[in-house]
Amino acid sequence: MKAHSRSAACAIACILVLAASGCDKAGTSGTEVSTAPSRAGEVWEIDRVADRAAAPAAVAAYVNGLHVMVLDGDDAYAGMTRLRATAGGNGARVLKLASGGEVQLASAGDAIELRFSGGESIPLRKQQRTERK
Amino acid sequence: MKPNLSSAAHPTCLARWLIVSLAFAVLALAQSTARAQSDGFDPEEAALVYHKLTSEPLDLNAIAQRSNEVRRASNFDRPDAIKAETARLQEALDGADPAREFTIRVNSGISQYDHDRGEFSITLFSPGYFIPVQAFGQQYQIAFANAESARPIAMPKETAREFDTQLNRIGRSVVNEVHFRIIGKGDPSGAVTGARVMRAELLGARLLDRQGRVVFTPTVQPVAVAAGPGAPVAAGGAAAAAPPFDLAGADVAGFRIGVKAKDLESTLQRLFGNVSRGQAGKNADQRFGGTLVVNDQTCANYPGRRGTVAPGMVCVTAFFDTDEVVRSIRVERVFPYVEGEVFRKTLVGRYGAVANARNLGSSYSLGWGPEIDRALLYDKSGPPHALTAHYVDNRDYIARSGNALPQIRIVLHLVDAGWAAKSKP
Repeated sequence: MKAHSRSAACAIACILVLAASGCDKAGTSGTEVSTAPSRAGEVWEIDRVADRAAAPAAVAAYVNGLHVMVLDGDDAYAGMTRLRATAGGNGARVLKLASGGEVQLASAGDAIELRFSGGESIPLRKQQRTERK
Repeated sequence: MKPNLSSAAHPTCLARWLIVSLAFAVLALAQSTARAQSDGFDPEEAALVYHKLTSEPLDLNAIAQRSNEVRRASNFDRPDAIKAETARLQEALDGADPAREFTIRVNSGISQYDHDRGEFSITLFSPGYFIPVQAFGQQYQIAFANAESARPIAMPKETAREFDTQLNRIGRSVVNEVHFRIIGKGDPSGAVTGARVMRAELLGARLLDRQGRVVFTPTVQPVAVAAGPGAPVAAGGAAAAAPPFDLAGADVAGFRIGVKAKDLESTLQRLFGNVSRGQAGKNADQRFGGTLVVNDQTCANYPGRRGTVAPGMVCVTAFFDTDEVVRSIRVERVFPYVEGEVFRKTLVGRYGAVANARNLGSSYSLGWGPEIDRALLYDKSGPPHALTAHYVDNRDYIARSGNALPQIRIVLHLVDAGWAAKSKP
């Protein structure tokens, strides 16, 4: 649990530090087509069995490619779409989505909470992958 | 028993005569009101405008054969009658005026007061409602693209109490007089499904009671304003809030077409682990050179494999061409039960006005972008568009007889329509 908490805090901190450096690789739109880094960053995913109350957020996360994504510094790789985080309120980071909406990334213990502008929210946890053979 | 004529002069009989006369007068008035409800609206004219605007074929010959003119003709004259009627219909179709404005009166209702939102809702303007119209022996559905702007009757609680009392006095039933023009095909909110959905722009509306008195006049925003930047998010997730669909920039769950297969492969590997690269397969379109697959066919339940599919499972199938450029990508994710309305609202919020929607009972599909060859579609009975989203009851056909809430599989499929058109065999 402690390791997860550190990972979440570290991911948010990386986003904050790199965003502050001012490099703007993503351009003005906030999104661009890009390959996800093969090693850098960490893979985060939404709860697999979310309750019904979280279903709208789970569907929104999936449709926008945020259900499984790489967080690397101030970049979020939603599939092959790179989104650039900007500073939001209360230490949260904000990703602007292709649809024009926004989603906040807020540290929540060992998780990162995805908060959509429509009010839906769902936690992201660091991926624990079990390779299929 | 003979009538006693002299009794007509009796005060009681006189009253009866008056009541009967009044009843006849009321009946006559009611009939004229009913007629007035269709005044100014010709369903066939509306259907012709729809077909002219959308270029959707209309089988004029078949319609001519069913017409009264042809049915009245003798066997000898029937071929000439069919020709003449077909020519008349063709002339009417050619002459249909897309700018024509229509007015129709339909029975409608007003919801209970929503205390959270501070508004009543006009039923006809809520997502999924439409006006059914019969023309040429088939049904059309009129769905309003800017209905959301006219849906709410917003007022503070104190005013609402008085309005609610007024509504209760008339049984919450009103006549909705709508003024509109037809602008295309399909319900942009994706809630009205099926064939021949006329997309209409609401130009004005009035809610009347049975006596024709105005109960409420909704505020109507033109389609261009209702769909413009900064438009309010609709309660029903209507398309008004989303930007117009842009195929060139579209993605499904973040994945794109037109990218190199090796780039997609490395991204899939990072996000999901094992990726299988293989031949396109015998059943695939000949233009595809190969596939990239994550979790091959493990997201759908079928008899014999029930119980192995769990919420959270993700499957990806991408097809690339002989130049190793990705031309089609399908992403699937299994969810615990989620309502179809959540799917609709989320997808409309993401991709904007829906071009076409189908509801086949166990699946509900929405489509955006240009139409493509059906051979390239994931669901060949679904909307034939470059981007489709499918809400699927993930039970196999045997399990569907049970009462448990089903898992839902949401499938997103994107095809490179430009490539498909250029490379058509």
